[in-house]
Amino acid sequence: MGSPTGPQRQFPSGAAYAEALQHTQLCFQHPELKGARAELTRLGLPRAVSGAFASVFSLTSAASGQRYAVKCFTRHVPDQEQRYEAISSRLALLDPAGLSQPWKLGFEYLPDAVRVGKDLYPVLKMDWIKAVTLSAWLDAHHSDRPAVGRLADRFEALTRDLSAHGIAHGDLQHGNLLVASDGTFRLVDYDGMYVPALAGLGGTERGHRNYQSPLRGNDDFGAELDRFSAWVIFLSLKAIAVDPALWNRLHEPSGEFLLLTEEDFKSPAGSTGLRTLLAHADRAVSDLAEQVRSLAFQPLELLPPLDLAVPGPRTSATATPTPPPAGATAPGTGGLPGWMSGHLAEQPATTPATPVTAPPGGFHTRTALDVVVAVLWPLALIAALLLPVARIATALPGSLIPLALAATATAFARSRRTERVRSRAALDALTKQLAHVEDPAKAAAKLHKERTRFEAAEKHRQATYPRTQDELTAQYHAALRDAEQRRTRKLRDIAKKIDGLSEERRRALAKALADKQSAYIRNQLGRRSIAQSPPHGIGPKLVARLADDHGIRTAADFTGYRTVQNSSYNSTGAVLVLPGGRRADVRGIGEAKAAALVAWRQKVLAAAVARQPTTLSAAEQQPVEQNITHRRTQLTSRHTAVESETETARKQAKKRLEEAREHLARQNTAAETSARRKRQEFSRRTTEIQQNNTLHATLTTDVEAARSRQSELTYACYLRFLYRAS
Amino acid sequence: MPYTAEISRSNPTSIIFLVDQSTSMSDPIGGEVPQQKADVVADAINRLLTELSVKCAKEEGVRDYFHVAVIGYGATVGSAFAGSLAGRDIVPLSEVADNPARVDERSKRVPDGAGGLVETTVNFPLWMDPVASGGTPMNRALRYAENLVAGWTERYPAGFPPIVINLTDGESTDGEPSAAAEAVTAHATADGAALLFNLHVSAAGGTPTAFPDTADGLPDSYARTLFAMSSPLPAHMRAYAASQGRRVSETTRGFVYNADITSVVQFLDIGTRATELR
Repeated sequence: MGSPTGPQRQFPSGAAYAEALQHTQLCFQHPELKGARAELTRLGLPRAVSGAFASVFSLTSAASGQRYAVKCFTRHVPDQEQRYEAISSRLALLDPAGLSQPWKLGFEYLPDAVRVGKDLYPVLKMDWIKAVTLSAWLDAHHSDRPAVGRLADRFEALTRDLSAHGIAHGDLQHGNLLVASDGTFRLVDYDGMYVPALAGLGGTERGHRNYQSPLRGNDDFGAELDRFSAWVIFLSLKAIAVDPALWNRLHEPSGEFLLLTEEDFKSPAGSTGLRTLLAHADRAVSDLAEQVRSLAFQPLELLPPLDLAVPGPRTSATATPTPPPAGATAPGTGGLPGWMSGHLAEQPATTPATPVTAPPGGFHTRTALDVVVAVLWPLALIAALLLPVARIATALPGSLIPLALAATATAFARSRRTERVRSRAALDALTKQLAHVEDPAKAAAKLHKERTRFEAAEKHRQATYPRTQDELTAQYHAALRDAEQRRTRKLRDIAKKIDGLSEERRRALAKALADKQSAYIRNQLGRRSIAQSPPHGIGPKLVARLADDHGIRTAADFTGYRTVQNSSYNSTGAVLVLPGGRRADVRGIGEAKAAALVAWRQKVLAAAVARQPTTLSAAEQQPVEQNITHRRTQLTSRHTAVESETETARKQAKKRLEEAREHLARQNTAAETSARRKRQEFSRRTTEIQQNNTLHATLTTDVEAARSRQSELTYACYLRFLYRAS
Repeated sequence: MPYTAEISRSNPTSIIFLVDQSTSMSDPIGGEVPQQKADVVADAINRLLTELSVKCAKEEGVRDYFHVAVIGYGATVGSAFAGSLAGRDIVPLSEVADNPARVDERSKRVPDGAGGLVETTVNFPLWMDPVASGGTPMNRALRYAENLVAGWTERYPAGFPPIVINLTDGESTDGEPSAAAEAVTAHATADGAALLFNLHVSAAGGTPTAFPDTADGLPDSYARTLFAMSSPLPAHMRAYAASQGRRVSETTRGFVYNADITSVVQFLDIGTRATELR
C-alpha cells in the first residue's frame, strides 16, 4: 500500500449533492437543468439512486419538460471526460436499426455543470428510461417460462451487439440491465465501459463481485471484459426458463445476485448454487453450469464469447451466424478452445463434491441373457408339471428341479445386470460423501458448547481485569502511605532539633560568659597578694609561713576555712580550704585569723565581681554562633535528604505501579487478541456449518433416493421387469 | 483476506455510533463562530445518517445494507434516537431513513453563480438533538457497544464486521477507556475483527487531522489515547483514503481530530468494486 499516484480531486458526497440539488436554480447553469424540478423523497430531499461511483437524481427540465437522470460523481475517475467522449462517439456510430434491441442510452457529459459549495463538478445528463432492473423483472416474471427464455436470447443478442463492435460494458449485472415493458433490454451505467479508443487506459472498476471471474484484476480492460459475467447471466436466465422454481430456491429475496454468487466461482465444491445447477436434470442447464465452472479458472482473454452457447445458425442483423461449438478450433477464433474439450469431461472426476449423477430407477433394456431367463421360466413350469405326469421323476422333489434351475438362472442373470452395480456404486459414493460432511446438528451443538464455555471464561477474565487494576492501585496507595508516614516521623524529629537550637545557643552563650567571668575573677583574686595588704592580725611571719609552707600568696590560693576540734587541748582550731578542696593546717592561724583571712578574701572577691565583664565580644560569640549555624545546616540538609528519600520512594512505587499496569495491559491485549482470533474462528465455523447444513440436507436426500432406487432392484423387481411390456 | 466480505441486504453490517453527551460537551469550540461541541457532534451524526441513506438509496428506496444504532452517553447510557425511533438500539437503515425526528429548515449562504452569495434554506433531517449533561462514562458506553457487537457477530458470522464510531471530547470520567475499547474489537466475524473509529472534538487546538498514521502532533493525552484506541484502517479503506490524496501507511488509524468524519461512509464498498489505486 502506498501513496496515490498523484493528487486527486475530491468529490462531494451523495448527501452533499442532495443538499445542493435542493436549489437547482443556483447549482446548475445548463439551460436544460437550471431550475429543473427534482423528484423528492418523503423528507423533501432530492431522491437519489446511488452506486459505487455516483448518485443519480431525477430532474424534470423547467425549460423543455423533459425528464433526465442526472448522474453526480462521488469518486474521482481518471480521464473521465476523455472516457465519456470516446464512449459517446463510439456509441453514436451504432445504427439503432442494426442493433438487436434499443438498449442504447442517450447521454451527455457536462463538465463543470453542478456547483456544490464553491466548486463546480461534472455531471452526466442521461435520458430517463422507463424500465425495471433485471432482478425486479425476475421477481415479477420468473414463472413465465417463455418470457424468461426470450429474455435469455435477447441477452445473448445484446452481448453479440457489444462484441461485434469491440465494446465491453465492464459491469454487467442485475442493476445495470434494465428490462422495458416490451421485454427488451436497456443497458445503463457506462462508467466502466471499454471501447477500442480507450485501449491502454486501464479499467476504473472491477465489476460486481457476484458476476466476475475470480481472476479479474485491476488491469483487465479490453473487449473480452464482459465474457464471464455474460455466461453467468445467460446461465441464470436459461436455468430459470427451464426450471422457474430455481429463482426462489437459489435467489435470496434481497440478494445482490441472480442465482450464483462470488463463492460459487471461487470455490465451486462447497457452494450450493453451482452444485444445484451442475446436478440439474436438464442437460442444457447442467452443461452451461459446467461451462461457467470451468471458465472461472481460465484467463479472461481466453474466455469464449457467449454466442457459442447458442448452437445452430442464427439470423441477426449485426452478428454473423456462429459456428456450432462441436468443431473445436484455436482459442479466440470462435470455436470451443481445444484445451477445454478435454477439460469439460475431466472436471467432474477431479472435484470431490461433484454430485453423483444417479442412474434412473429400476431395470431398463433387456439383454439376451434376460430374454433367455424369461423364456426359461415357462419351460421350467411346464417341465415341473409334465415330469410327474410322465413319471420320469418319481419323487415330488424331483419335479422341482427345473424350477430350481430357473430360479438359479434368474439369480445369475440378475447379478449380471449393470443397474445393480451402478446403483450400489452410486449409493456407496453418496454415503462416502455424506460421511465426509460433518453432521451439522452435532457440529452446531459442539460449537455452541465451546462458545458458551469460552464466553464464560472471557467474561470472568474481563471481570478480573479491573479488579487486578484496583489491587495494583491499592498497593500503590499503601506504598505512598508508608513513605509519607516515614517522612512525617523523620521531619518531626528534625524540626524538634531545629527548634532546640536557639535554646542551645542561649545556653552556650551563657556558659561562655560565665567562663569569661570566672576567669576574670580568678585573675583578680590572683593579683591581690596577702603580703601587700595583709588583713588584720596577719603579721609578716604568718604571711611568710602561708607563702612558704603552703603556697598561699594571693586571694586565689584559698577559698575558705573549716573549724576543727583539737581534742587534746579541748580547743577549737581552723584549717584553710585550698582551691581543689585540699586543706592546709597553718600553724599560728586559729579560727579568728582564718575568719579574718576569709573576710579579706570576700572583700576582694566582691570588688572583682562588681567589676567583672557582663557581655561577650563579637569574637567571643563567633565560635558559638558558628557551631549553631553548622548544626542548623546539618539539620536542614537532613530535612532535604528526607524529602528526597520520600520522593524516591514515591517514584519507585509509581514506577512499580506503571510497570505492573503495563504488564497487565499487555497481558490483556494478548488475551483480547486471542479472544478475537477465537471468535473469528467461531464465526468461520458457524458459516461453515450453515453451508454444510445445505450440503448435508442435499446429500441426505440423495442417499435416501439412492436407497429407494436400490430397493427397486430386488429379485421380485427383476422378475417383474422380465415380463414387463417395455 | 479480512474485510472483504460483501455488504449486502442478506449480509448487512451494523454501524454503532457512540455519542458523548456529557456536560463538558457544552463547551464551545471553533473559530469565528464558536459552536457547542454537543452541536458539532449531533450535526455529525445527523449528516452521517443522511449520508448513509443516500448511499444506500436504490430505485425502490433505501436498502438495508446497514443497520444503525445511535447510543448516547452522559447522565445515562442508551439509545439517543429522538422521535419515533426513541429507545431503540439497532435499527435497519431503511427504517432510520424514513423516520427522522423532524426535518429542520436551515439557512445557508450559497454562491449565486455570479460571484455573490445568496441566502437560502435547505432541508436538514434530524435524528438526534444535542444533549450535554452528566459525566462521560465512556467505559460504560463501550461496554454497551460491545454487547451490541457481540450479538451482531453471532447473527451474521460471515458478514463484514460491525463498525463502532465514537464521537467525544475524550475526557472519560469512569476510567481509562483503552481496555474497554480493546474488548469491543476483540469480537470478530469470519471476515475480521469489529472496527472502532473515533472522532475527537476538542478545544485543545492543534491541526485538524483525519486518519493520521501517527500520534505525533496530536495536542493532548486524550487525543493520543483515542488515537491508540482506534482500529487501523482495513486495506481497501486505506486505498480509498489514499485515492482522496491522504497520506496513508500500514499504521493509519480510524481516528479523526476536529475534522469531518462523513468521508468514512465513502470508505464502505457496496456492489461494484472500484479498482484499487496503486
